[in-house]
Amino acid sequence: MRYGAYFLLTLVLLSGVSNVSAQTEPLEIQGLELDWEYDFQATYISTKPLIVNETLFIRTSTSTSNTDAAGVYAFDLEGQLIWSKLNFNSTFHDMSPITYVEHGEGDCGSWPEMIMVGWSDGILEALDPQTGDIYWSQKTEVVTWGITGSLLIDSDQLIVPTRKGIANYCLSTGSNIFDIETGLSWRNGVTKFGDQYFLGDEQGTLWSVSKEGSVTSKSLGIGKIRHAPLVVGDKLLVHAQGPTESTIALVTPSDFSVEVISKAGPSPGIPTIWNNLIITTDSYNIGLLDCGSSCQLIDQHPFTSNGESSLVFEDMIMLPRNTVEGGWGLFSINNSSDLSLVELFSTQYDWYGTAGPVFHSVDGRQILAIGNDNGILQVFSSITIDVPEQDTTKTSYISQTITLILFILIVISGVQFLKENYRSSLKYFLIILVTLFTLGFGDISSSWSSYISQFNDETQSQESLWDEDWPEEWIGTQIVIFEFDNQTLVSGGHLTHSTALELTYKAADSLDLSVEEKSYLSLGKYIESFNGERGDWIFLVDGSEAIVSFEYAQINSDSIVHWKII
Amino acid sequence: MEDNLDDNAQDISLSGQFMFQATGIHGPVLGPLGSLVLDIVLLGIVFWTLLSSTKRSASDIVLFTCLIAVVSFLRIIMTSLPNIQPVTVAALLVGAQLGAKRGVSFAILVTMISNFIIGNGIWTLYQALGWSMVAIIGANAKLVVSGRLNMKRVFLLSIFSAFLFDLIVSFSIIDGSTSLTQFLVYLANGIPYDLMHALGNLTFAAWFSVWFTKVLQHQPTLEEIEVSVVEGYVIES
Repeated sequence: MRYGAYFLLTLVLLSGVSNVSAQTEPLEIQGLELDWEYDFQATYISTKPLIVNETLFIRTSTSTSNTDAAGVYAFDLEGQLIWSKLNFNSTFHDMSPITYVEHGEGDCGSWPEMIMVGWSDGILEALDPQTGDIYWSQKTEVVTWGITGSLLIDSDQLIVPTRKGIANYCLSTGSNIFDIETGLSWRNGVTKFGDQYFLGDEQGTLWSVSKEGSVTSKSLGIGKIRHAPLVVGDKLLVHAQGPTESTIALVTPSDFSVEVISKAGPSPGIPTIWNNLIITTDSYNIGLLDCGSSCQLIDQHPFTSNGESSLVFEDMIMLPRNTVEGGWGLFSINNSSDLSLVELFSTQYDWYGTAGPVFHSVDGRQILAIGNDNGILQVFSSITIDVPEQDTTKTSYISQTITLILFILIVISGVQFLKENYRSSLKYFLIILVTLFTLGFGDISSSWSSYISQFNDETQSQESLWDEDWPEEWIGTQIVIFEFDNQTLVSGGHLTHSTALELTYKAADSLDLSVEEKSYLSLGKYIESFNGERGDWIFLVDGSEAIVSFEYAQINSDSIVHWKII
Repeated sequence: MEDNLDDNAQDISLSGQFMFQATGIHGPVLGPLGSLVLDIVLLGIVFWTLLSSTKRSASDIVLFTCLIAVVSFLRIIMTSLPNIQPVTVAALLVGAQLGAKRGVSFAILVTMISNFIIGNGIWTLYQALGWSMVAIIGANAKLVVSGRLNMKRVFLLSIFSAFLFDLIVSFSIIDGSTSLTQFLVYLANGIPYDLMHALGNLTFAAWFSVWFTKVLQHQPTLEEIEVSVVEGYVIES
């Protein structure tokens, strides 16, 4: 009976645990301590900050008009806000990285030091880094969104990936040199190779535009191109996004011939180049490609990241984990080109994120700035500055307790085994197994379900589920349908979400719907109600009824999630 | 009522093979009248199985009631754990010690009482059927021989009954629109849950079966009661 009571106590303890979380929340990473932080309220940090001349620039984005406005901010390195500039006309998802331009002179004339900001409402601005004042601005085409990709400085010109093309501006005056239509695009940066500019689009076409404005293109047929192609030797590397997987390929710029290097997971992030090594990311892995003589995948490590990654501490890679648990992966590459996880850095603001960190070293002082979809900027520094006393560690006592109990059970089981009391040893061993399987059950069932779905894929394409009333801009994006008894609400145009949970919350947010959920140990989260309407809410992903919790249901870049009550 | 509907979804998952709000294939939905008919039918079966010409002592009835209450309570508090079902091993042992009839009534009552809290629906019928089957197997498996529990057999049947119960409950999702392929995919998706159920059963069996059997030994089976009564008449005559 006594043993029985222990067993029950263990199970009851377990039933109150929703997950095993990180045991501590460190405010220190690789010797850098948290120096200061800034809360941007209800906005996201979707692109990496920029540190130039002892000023930190950062931009925020939104996904709905109900949140605070998107903006650009400048701080000194001690955390004092120097200036800020909000854009109340933003059409959300401002993801074009801030670009710094040194002062210079060219055929167009001379220009001062500037930072360039492209907005989702199509506005392009050249700002004074000291004050935020506008030197000049231009308007580009908007189809739901305007500028979302990375800009390129080419001598005295600024090359801008617009929503449907590529535009070229004189840095000194902002006068337009050319504006050429290519394809509908998203987050597609521009790359220069030789005298040509290269950019991709949502149809998977790679475009080449000369300085004179002549255009050639070819559909690569490997998926959407959502980053600036990387120049690797005499070729371009593209990590293209397909519906269920992605493709890493080398493209010969002269004839657009494609050499597939590797298939990878869905929703790829923006690849990064480091010496001859290419770092790729997707919903499954961080990958490492050696592009010395010929490109080949040499290592990968399970990690979910779908946005930017950065080189930090001179020899490490840091990137946000784009899951509800969030956190930051810090990876190193050893001499054998093996990729290894140094640490999974966690903060109290962990959440989804796609913005890479920025690392900067000035006068022997190292600075690391990070931010995610929680909209809080955290700046770590190698110099400790007086900050108010705060509790730097928060221990998860439940995790500690479970770990301790498991440890005790293992010891007891082992001792009983050694004493040849096998039945008693088995009893404790079974409790250990139940505990471990219970804690990992969500992942196990999700993986198994994904495996099973390979053999019975009843999902339909977006085209077959398309409603003619939906705006054309939603084609190729993620869409959520909320089917109530008396009305149906639809939210589309969503991007980069990897689970039904993430997408549902974004869509509900944009429609101003309240969401009630319930979380069960190992089983994941379930919807109790939308907008107070309770019932047996089930969901379909691409026309097929889901078989896992919406927390674990993986979705594609153009998935349609349909909620309804049975 | 709406709350109950919501709970129903949980119940499919937690007591059966699947624990999902969206099961991939959802079974027929039971209306209020259907629920009433189901309850009446199940209670009728319980009444029939407990019918006996012999009068039972108050302590027997109290013990049986307590067993049902405790196991129902355990099932309710363990709903947040993935398919860990204390009822299965309990039904097996009750069947083994008290016989098939009382095992079946135990299974039905535990299912109904716990489902009042967790959520009622068509699956209640299948769960009651599943655990009744387990109790009947327990009654015929000779788990207790000469007052001693055959642990090896208990372990094997604990594993087997997990899969059997889950299979029976899985039939609750079948309606006119369910194809064989869908059903097989449904079953395949439930394998981790089946394994978890089996593991939980093994754990319960390892820890509680001996103690539970001893508790039940205080209760004579219906057959024993009948035998003792008959013997009493014989001696008197």
